[in-house]
Amino acid sequence: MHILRAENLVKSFPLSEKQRKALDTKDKRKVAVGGISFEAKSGEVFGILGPNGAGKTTTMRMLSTLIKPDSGDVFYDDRSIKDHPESIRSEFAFLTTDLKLDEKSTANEMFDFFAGLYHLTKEQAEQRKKELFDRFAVNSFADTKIKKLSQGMRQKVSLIISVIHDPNFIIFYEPTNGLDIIAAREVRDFIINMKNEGKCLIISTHLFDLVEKVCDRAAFIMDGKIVANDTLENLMNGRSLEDSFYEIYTANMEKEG
Amino acid sequence: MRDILTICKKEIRSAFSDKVILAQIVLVPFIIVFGYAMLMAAMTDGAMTDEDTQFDGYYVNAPAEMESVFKAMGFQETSASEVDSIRKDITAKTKDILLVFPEDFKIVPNADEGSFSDVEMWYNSSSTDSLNASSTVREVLSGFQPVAFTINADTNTKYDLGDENFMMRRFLGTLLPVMLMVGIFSVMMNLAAECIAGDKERGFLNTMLISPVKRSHIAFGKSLFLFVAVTIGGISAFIGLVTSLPRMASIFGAEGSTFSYSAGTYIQLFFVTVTSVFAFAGFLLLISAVSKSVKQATTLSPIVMMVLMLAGMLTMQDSVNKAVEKLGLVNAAIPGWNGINAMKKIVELDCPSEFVLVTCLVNVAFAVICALIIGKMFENEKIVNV
Ligand SMILES: Nc1ncnc2c1ncn2[C@@H]1O[C@H](COP(=O)(O)OP(=O)(O)OP(=O)(O)O)[C@@H](O)[C@H]1O
Ligand SMILES: [Mg+2]
Repeated sequence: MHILRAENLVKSFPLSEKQRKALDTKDKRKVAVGGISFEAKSGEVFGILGPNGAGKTTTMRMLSTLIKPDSGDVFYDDRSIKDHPESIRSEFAFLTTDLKLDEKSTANEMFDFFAGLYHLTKEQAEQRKKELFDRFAVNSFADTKIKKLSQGMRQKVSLIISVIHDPNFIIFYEPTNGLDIIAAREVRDFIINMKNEGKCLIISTHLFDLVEKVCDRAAFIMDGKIVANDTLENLMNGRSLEDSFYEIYTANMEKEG
Repeated sequence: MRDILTICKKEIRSAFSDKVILAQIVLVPFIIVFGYAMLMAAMTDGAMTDEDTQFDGYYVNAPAEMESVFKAMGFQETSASEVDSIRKDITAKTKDILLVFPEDFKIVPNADEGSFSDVEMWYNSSSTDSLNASSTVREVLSGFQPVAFTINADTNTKYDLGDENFMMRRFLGTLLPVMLMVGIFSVMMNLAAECIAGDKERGFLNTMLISPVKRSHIAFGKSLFLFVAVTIGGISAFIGLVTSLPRMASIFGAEGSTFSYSAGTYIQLFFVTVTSVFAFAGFLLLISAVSKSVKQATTLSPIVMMVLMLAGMLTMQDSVNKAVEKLGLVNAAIPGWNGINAMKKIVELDCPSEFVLVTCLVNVAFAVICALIIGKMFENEKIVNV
């Protein structure tokens, strides 16, 4: 059983003079994430949903140790990211547009490089490469420089690199970004597959179709706070996810005035 | 250590599989140093041969024993009636010089004042060719004048007790460090900027930062790569230097002189070059690590070079040079500056070995410290591009 637990995560960014004027505020800092807590377990897919600027990206950056929270903590199986950032990094896969590949390398070279950084043995690496390259049909462009690949091709390679070490925790931000329907379906199956293998998955996307098909539970984030966190079934309550999302959104907008 | 090597190897593979970058590292430093030296040599040579070129000169009534000399210099005989028109041409700079000898020209050793034969020499001091011609002619004519006494008549005795190659060494000493810096600096600057700021800008660094590798080890891997690359660049520039030195020496004619450097001098020069390059690379990497983009890094970097070049130029001045000399080993303790100083001293054959030693040690230590600082910077969130 694997558990990822976010505890009261807070992150703010300094505001420039210009931004302050635009936002009509006197605050020196913009609170991007204002105390977010949730728990994701193995064998389920946890969705993080929310409108633009809600704080999804910021939250995921904190989960992945890319940035440090101002306060709060994240626990991977009860190990804090503050204590063991390096060893924890070997336990999760992180896929987002923040992470780019080396334009001058090929998919093959990228794979070998990261296989080295993740300390895979030669046999492990070869086996994993074959498995993933076959699965996502990368072989035909595996020796082409990344800079010559299409957006979807890059996304496939990025996804492969992110799970190179077959970790227990998977954090995906818009995993089907730029993918055609065939590839998107492959990714969806891959996600469900990993869930069935007992991995703990967190997915953030604006594609509700994907959410409905793979997520078991989801949190709605608005303005840096969780406004709903429940099973998908309860959240939808017989409606479409889009309708319930809209309802929660307007209800909270009214509350804030 | 394994991760450091993995990252270093990846950087090396990337750099060396790119022909442009490979050429930058291996060839460009050599070409710049060698090319610059050859250019200097050609220019200086040109200036020297210019002096004994032919002149567009004319003479009237020259005595027979002088005619052949003037003819050899390209002079033409003319008649007294042409004098006015030639003088106009000299004013217009279309002709160089005109010599008018009196009809009864005589060389009289001990004449009373006022009874000398006077040769009129018309020239134009605002024309370089004409001015050169006038001084050459003066020299030639004085050769025909009687001698009252001689100075240093014995051509076999070396009356100048100074080091005949001193001027050349002085010249090379100021030139070489600058040449080397120009040769390697631009290459180093680009490599260093790409190495960290480039990966940061393009978001690839982020991908490495979420791998289980210690962040400082990413920094060390990249630093190690740059040190390897600039060592190759340094060797390339050094070869350029060694191969062009003989030609540089020959500029000064150094006629029959015994100009040559010993193997020891070259070895000293080599170590100073390579360790100076390390110090530069370390500093440039620091700039790269604080920069957000390659552009920012390459804008900031040349400032270091400018400061050092300026300092190098200043030491050409004797008074500054003396003041600097007084500082002694302090000069060897300042990274970057110590290299310029040491190279200059080595070329001038005036470099105590402890100066070389301190220079090399300080530079290596500085490079290591830079790498450590960059390692610390990688632990900071600022290195993340979000
Ligand atoms: N590096 C940063 N500097 C300053 N402000 C930031 C920074 N990153 C995010 N923010 C601010 O924090 C808030 C949350 O941003 P975030 O990117 O987390 O939203 P998001 O939920 O991912 O939105 P989207 O759906 O558009 O991707 C926004 O108001 C944004 O302007
Ligand atoms: Mg976002």
